[in-house]
Amino acid sequence: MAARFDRRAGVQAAAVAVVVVLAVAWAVHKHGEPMGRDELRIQAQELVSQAAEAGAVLELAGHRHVTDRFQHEHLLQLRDRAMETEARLRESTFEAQFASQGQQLREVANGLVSALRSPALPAGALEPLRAQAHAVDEALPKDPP
Amino acid sequence: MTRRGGHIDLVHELLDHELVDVNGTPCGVIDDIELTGGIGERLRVTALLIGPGASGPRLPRLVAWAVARLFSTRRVRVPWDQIDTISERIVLRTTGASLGLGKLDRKVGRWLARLPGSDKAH
Amino acid sequence: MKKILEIFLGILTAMGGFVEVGELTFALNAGSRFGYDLLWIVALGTLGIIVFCEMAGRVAAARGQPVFNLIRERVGFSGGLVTLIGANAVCVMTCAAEIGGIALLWQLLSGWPYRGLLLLALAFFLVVVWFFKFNWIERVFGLLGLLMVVFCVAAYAMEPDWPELAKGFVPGLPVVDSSREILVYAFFAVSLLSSIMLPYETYFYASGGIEDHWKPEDINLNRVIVLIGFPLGGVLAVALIAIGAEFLGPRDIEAHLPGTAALAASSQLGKTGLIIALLGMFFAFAGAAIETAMSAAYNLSQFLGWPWGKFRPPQQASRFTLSWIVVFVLATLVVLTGIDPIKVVEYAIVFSVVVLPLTYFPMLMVAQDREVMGEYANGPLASVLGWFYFIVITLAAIAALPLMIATHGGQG
Repeated sequence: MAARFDRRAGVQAAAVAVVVVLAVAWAVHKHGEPMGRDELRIQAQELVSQAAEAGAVLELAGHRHVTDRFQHEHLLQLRDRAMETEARLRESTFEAQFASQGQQLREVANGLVSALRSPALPAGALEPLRAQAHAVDEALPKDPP
Repeated sequence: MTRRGGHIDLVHELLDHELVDVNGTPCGVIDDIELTGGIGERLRVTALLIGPGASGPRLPRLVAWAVARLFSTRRVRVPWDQIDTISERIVLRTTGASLGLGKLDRKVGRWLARLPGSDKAH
Repeated sequence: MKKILEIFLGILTAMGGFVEVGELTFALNAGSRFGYDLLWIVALGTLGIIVFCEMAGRVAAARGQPVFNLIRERVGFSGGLVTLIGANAVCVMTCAAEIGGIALLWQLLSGWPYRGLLLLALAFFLVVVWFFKFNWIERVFGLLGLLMVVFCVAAYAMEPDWPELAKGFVPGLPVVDSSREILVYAFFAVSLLSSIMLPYETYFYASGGIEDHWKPEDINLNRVIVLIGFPLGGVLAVALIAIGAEFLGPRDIEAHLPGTAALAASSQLGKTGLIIALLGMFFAFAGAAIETAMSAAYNLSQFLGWPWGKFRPPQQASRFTLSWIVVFVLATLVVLTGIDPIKVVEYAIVFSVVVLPLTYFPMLMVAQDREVMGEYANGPLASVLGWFYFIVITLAAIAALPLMIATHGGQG
């Protein structure tokens, strides 16, 4: 029984195509949606984490707990992640009620990327950024318990 | 041919079981079984079929068509009298090569032979 | 004496090879987000992988049959093919993540560019797996993976809240602010469980038993190795959760890079701790990369009846050899696209749990089949545990994708 592309194969192919098209359409739709509360909280927490971690690297470097090479490279890796967050915030729109929070997070992300670019970063430099991102996270409405 | 019991369950003991030659080298998996005999006549198992040409048609139509296109419709016919034992694995009386099995493995093996150390087990 | 040495090395190898980049990340984040509340998942998962590896090892020793031969026989060709594709997709993705993780680690040590390091890692793996014996590879990466013990030392030095830690072993829901957090908790529970019970470990373990030419007499050796080695590996996972709880959580840090783990170690143990942590992670990730690539090659070869094994010269197991080479190359290509390796392994882990029941079911059926296994078939304990875990992973498989979607991939 040779494998011909007969009617049954055609129906199966059509079914697969429909599923793929639906999945792609759903993904595209999700991507284009403005960021709501949940998405903004995720971005805020990302920025808090990145700023806090960079701060921790600098603090430990100050106590000579990490090598210079590690400090340099790990901050660069964090900077790459901050740049991704910054790009995501820059390319997204925000729901109308959260426009100002979104804008604030954009500023924090920008600030973080710039800070992580400078070669000699003082230990406390990232704390204000971390605090600001944290404040935005706190300001966003919470779930009911 | 040696085996335990008097009956052979074609589906549970033959189909999809590993085929191994007289040296213990795997030669494929039983992909299909050839039965000979018309309606009303006695059906006999005449051969075992190995290869994408044998297993492909067992898949859903779309996948079978894709398999035939991407791989081949090649299949090897192992005559029933070449089987020595049916147990955990199906063992042949002779080598896989003499029956035309494992051609692709030998072909790929010739490419790999260009690399140093390919003839030693590591 | 030789047996004792083999047992000892087997235990240490099992322990050192327990953690890979996905489990490391999920454990640290579980600790950071939920403190010690997910420790019971570590215990559940560790017992689960013990049950399945013991069974797979017993089948390999008793019948000389590794896992994928059985899957095709029991589940049939179509079902087996679905399992094969699912399992191998997970293997490739996991391998990609380990290679990406290794490049990130080497970058922290050398400063060389990431993509160049990916290619260097690929070359490293191709050379190592081609030229070195199976036994040697298994031992070296497993034993050097024991450097990960530095995380146990660091966790201890952080003076964890021992009463809280003990309470974490009791299953239960955490006290959280909202119902959404419960969903995130459930997602972490499913993912952490999946990362401990990744099926490539079972396939590799069983095929490895055949590579090591296990006989029925080796069944007890198999049991001792899993019963002691894997719990010790579980201790490493507990240490990582503790580090998440004591160092990352209070600072609101989420682990998304391997360097984060090393940072935590350095906070207690200085530069020495940092270097040991980086090296330990390298050997653990490298071991996992090799295991996943070889698992995929074992699975494919066993399913299609090709000659396989490192005990055969490459020329005589040529398609098997080509398979693991192709997996390493594909995995490297995946991370060369610039995709975040941690994201890749997170998806791999979720996808893996969905495919998990398909893999374990045939093995469970064979292990308890008295006709096939004779006196080595599942006793009452193995039977009960085997079925219990089958139910657990089926529930996890059903819940995984909905949870991932509902929690935006576990972020909230």
